[in-house]
Amino acid sequence: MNQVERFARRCERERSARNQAERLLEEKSLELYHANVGLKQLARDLAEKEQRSSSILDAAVDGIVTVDEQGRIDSFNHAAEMIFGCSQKEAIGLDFSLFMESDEMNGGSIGDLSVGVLGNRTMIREINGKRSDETIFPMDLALSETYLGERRLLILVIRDISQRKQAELERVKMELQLRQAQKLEAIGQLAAGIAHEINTPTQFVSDNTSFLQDAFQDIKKLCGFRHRVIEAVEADTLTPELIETAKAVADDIDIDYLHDEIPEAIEQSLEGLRRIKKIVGAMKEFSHPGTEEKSCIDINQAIRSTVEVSRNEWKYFAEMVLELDPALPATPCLPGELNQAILNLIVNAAHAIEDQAEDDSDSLGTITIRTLKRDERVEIKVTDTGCGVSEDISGRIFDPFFTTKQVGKGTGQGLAIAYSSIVDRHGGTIGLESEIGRGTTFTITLPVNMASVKTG
Amino acid sequence: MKGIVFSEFLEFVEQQFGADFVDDMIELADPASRGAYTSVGTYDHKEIIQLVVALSELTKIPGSDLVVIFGKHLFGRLAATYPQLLEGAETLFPFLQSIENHIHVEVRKLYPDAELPQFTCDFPGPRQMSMTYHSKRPFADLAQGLIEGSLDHFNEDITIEREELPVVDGFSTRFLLTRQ
Repeated sequence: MNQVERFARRCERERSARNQAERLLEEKSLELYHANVGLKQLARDLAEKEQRSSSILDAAVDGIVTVDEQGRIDSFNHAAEMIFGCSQKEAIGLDFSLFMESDEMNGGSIGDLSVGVLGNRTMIREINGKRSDETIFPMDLALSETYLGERRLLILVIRDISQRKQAELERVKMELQLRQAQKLEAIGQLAAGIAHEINTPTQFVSDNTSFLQDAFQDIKKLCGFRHRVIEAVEADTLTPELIETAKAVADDIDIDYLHDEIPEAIEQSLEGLRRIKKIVGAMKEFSHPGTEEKSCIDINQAIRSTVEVSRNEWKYFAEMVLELDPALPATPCLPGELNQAILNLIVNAAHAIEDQAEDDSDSLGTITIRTLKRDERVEIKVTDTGCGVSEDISGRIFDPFFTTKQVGKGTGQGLAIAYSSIVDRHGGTIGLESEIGRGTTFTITLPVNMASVKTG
Repeated sequence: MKGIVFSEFLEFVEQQFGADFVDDMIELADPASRGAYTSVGTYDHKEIIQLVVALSELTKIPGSDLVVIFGKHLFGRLAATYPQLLEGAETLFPFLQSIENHIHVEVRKLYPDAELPQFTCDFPGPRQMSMTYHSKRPFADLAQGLIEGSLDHFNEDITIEREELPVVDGFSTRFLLTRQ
């Protein structure tokens, strides 16, 4: 092969390689063009998605904020601007902890709060937020995390719960007012009965006192003659006429009758006064001034007082049987609220017996109140022999305003308030067992241990 | 196989044996592409084997030796053309480790259809590194040449022992590198 032929071959190889390279270049150019078109479309799609996401974020009612691992704000939606009173422009790059109340009780920094946030698991905390004007407000903070490549972002969803909290406060206030109103209603309802209970002994104390007043006048008269007889004896001027006159006065005032009746009148009066004292004492105990602090009380004594003040509510329909465990320990309670709950159950029992007794009004029913200690709880059972509660309404019996009584006889608040008082305020339980036509037993349990008592 | 291997091979032959050898080798090998290669093209790997066999016949040097020497040459050319591939590597072992997880990843970005060999690395001793070549094609000699080229680049006192492994789903060869 000569040099010319070799050169020609080399040229041919170079030309062929150049053609291949040009063809490849064209192919790659075309690929690049298509890739560019695809990228532009992708960019448009991404811009649309970005716009859509941004619109959704800005339309959201909740504040949505993303922060980096150092707690610096990465994005801040419109609702967040409204909640914190700070524009997105001002907020980006700031430490989110600036928008939280700096109080240890508030959970620390956003970094501290985010400990334990993993993947899609959302952690929700109620903390205090801080607006740009430094006002503090309650907020629900939902924390979750996401990763943009290697970069960890925390997603914070913030809900301003100021209004909800205000509404809760209003509700609690309303409940307190309602409880107070119910207590006043109960006291008003009891007042007539209590007046009657006090009136009876007052009446016979009054009668006996009148009798004693008259008797005293008679005895004073007799004493006057007796004094004249003694003077006549001392002056040796006693006459048979004077003796006869004195005897006639003694006969006239019936001294033997007074001798028998006066001690009895005094005893009856004392008994009447004791009775009044007992009723007044029970009333005083029942209307224990409302307190928000629990104190350890004698539940049996509370029941006795409540039974006493409510006597007029049940005595025409039922006998009251108390089977109170003398070994019952002092139990942490809100005394006024517990008395109210027991009163409501007694009144309810009396009404149930009254309803049952309508056909046979001569016989009395029975209300039995038992107490006993069961493990770490005190149990109070109020059983009546009344009309009973049907299964279809037993589930609603603790609902506020639910009543089966005639208009004017019940507001439907009694059992609802008993439930709220026992369950919410004492951390106890209340339930019922009932049989139509046979009666109902309400069972209250209260924790004995102060530590296990939830403060309502 | 990527065209850069072919075009560099022709360069290597021309440098080592003269331009006429290139013509003679191509004429003797008679590859399908007729010896016209561009570095951005892709060619049947059998052509390089044909070329090596022809060169071996012309030079009377064993083909495997020729491929190892070419591998060393190729490493130098790649290092000069793509210096970024060596950035951050100060010694041989980390560089060889980066081939599978870094260099091959970058190659695939440019050439998604590239059929690259696999390298698995482990460290059987405190001063040793084992690098196993696995490919559907028998180019362990080229791998050896590339390793030797990189060893020259880092200028470390390291010995290379080669062990052929049983052929299972392709060709496998283990290179045991021991730092002295």
